[in-house]
Amino acid sequence: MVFTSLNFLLFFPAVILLFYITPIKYRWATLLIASYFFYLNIEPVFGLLTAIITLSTYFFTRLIDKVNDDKTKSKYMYLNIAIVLLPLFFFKYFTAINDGIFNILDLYEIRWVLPKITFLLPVGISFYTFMAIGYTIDVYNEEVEAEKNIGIVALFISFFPLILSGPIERAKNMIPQFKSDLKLNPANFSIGLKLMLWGYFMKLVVADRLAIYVDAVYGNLAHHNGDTILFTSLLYPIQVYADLGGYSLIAIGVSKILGLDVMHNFNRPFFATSMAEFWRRWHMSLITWLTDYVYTPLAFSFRRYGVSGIVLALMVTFVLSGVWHGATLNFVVWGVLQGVFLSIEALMNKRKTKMENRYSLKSNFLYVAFSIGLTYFLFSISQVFGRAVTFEDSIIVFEKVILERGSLFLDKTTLAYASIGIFMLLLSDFRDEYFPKKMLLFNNKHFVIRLGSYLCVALLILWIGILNGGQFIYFKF
Amino acid sequence: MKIFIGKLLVFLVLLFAADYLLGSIISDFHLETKNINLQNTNYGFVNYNNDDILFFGASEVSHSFISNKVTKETGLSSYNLASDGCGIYYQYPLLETVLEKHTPKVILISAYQLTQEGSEYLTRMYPYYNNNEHVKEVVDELHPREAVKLALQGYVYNSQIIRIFDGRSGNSNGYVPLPSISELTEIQKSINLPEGEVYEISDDTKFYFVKFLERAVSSGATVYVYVPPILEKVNQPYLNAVKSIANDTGAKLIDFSTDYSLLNRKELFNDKIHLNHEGAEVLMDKFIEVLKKDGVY
Repeated sequence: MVFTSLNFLLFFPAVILLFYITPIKYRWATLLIASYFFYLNIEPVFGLLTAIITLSTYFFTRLIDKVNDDKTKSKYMYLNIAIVLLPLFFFKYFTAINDGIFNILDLYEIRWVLPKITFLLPVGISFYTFMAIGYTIDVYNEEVEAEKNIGIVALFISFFPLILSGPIERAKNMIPQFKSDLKLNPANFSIGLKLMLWGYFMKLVVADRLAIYVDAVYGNLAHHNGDTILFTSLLYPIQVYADLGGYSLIAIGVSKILGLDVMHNFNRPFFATSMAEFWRRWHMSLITWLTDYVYTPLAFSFRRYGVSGIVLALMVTFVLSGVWHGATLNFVVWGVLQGVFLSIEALMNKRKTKMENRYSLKSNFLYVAFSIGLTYFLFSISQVFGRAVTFEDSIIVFEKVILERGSLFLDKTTLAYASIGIFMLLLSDFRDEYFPKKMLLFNNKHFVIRLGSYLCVALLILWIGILNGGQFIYFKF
Repeated sequence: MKIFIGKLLVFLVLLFAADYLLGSIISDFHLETKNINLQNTNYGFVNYNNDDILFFGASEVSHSFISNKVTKETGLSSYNLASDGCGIYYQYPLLETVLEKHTPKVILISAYQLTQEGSEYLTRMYPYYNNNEHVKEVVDELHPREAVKLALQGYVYNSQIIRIFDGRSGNSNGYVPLPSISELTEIQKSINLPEGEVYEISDDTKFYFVKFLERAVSSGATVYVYVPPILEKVNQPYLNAVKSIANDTGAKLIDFSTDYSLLNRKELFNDKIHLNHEGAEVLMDKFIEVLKKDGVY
């Protein structure tokens, strides 16, 4: 069941109704049942994985909480992390490792008698695995207490709005909310529905429409010239933003209606003026997770190496982030590129700041516009490795972009519809970035203006949205 | 909470009202569109009127069968009902709709209808869903839940607005000519035809294809299954399946897949699959010969 399916539009009101008639004390249990129903609906066997991860996490966090010896605590923490990571490694990397072994054996002309096996990746496994690991480390660091109610731990790991694509939440934010008196109230309903409406707009009007064009070009690289591929590569980050950003807003909106506050995942990333700022605005729940549990411990370990240590920590963090996205050379290169961009910025940061202050560049429109454009361009380049199916395809993209000129492939209808969505999305982000209290539509004080803007967005979804069920890009991670 | 629910209801009522109003306005424009592809669809599902020869299929037919030429040479009225990208789930209700009004003398359908995967093109028929039982039957069978969405007028015309207002019009009775290309593609330059694609035939498409042919034959029309010329070696199992179905249903086969008088003249093609206008002229001469030989005129 996905957010854009008709099933979800029946499921969610049913959950609200059940939630409403359940006594406040047991509403967390209703959410747990709904979450397992939601996840089992995709593939029943996947529920076993969440159950195993829940049991292991509950058991070991309780042990960590009980023992006083640091070494034993650390042993339990690592043991649970290993257990929790096992399914992720198995399902996500087994095929890649298996293929790698076959390729190496092929080089030496050795024939392996075992057949090639491919497993279906359980949807959302990366997201709930990261949440379970984060919770284990937080208990170890004594930032949160180990939860005594296994039902609450199970709900934290399987909470249906977040299980498929995040945001990757933290125990210290979610568990106290699950244990509090969950109530339905009109203010939350209103905020939640607005977030959902804009999320559906981003996904159905922008992301899924752009996907038609991007897939047509990237699916037939051999038939398209460099100019078309460059144009498509510059559009692709907007597709990903609208896809994951749209999903996240729907998830946050659904949670809000149920009375739960979930962290935001994007903060107008295309107005970032540097890669460092970009990564503070893009997929924030993943980046803060990586910062807290990978980068910061690494940077601390490497502190004696000074700036080189920071660069090394950045590289390792982003390569890991790349590998998290997929076990392919493409994603490793993607991670390395992010690491390189950020490292160069870190190394030049002092000089850059000095220059910006000296010439008051931060208030110079041209400088800001150039910085935004450059950041977007660098991210688009790196995203080629995120979109192309194989590393060879990525190389073809760069070869063609550099060497092959030609007229643009213009799927006029698709691009015309997409332009409407992109324009509205970027205009909204522009307003929020530079004029946050002006030209309010969804939050205007006049009911008629609010109503009119909801109607326009809803009608656009009905009239030009892709309503036949495109998949969310981040489900595959 | 009561105030909120009240406001939510106001929003929903206004949304449905706005959707209905705009949908009704668009409906008028849709029926009067000048877009040649939508004109064809409208003609078949709404305005069809007593043609002697009808062509069904996707782009391999819409760009190849010059209705006006056939009419001029045979004296029989004809219309090219083919629509780019549309498969057998579109052709079958279209046939049923036209047969309700008139039985043509000749019905031709492309053999590629047997292999066309997917059913995304069904959205092209949504504007007729509420008034055409044949469309409703097929859509309900293939996508049972669409009925809920199709209560919305906006969804009926989803993604068609630009097409409705696109002014491309033609007086070619459905035929859409393709221009010659200035430079031959790699396939066209190669001396030997490349290996053909392996076409999968699903049970669903086969079911509707056979149903189409049986219905067309039972109407009393002369029915042709047309195998188009394509710049690749013919896929024999697929061709055998087509022959077998045509034979079983009583349809006649016109096979151009090995007609080298066409295949060797690669300048007649716009790409691997589609003939250009010059190619269509040559094909029509051959088709008219077939009609003459079969005593259609």
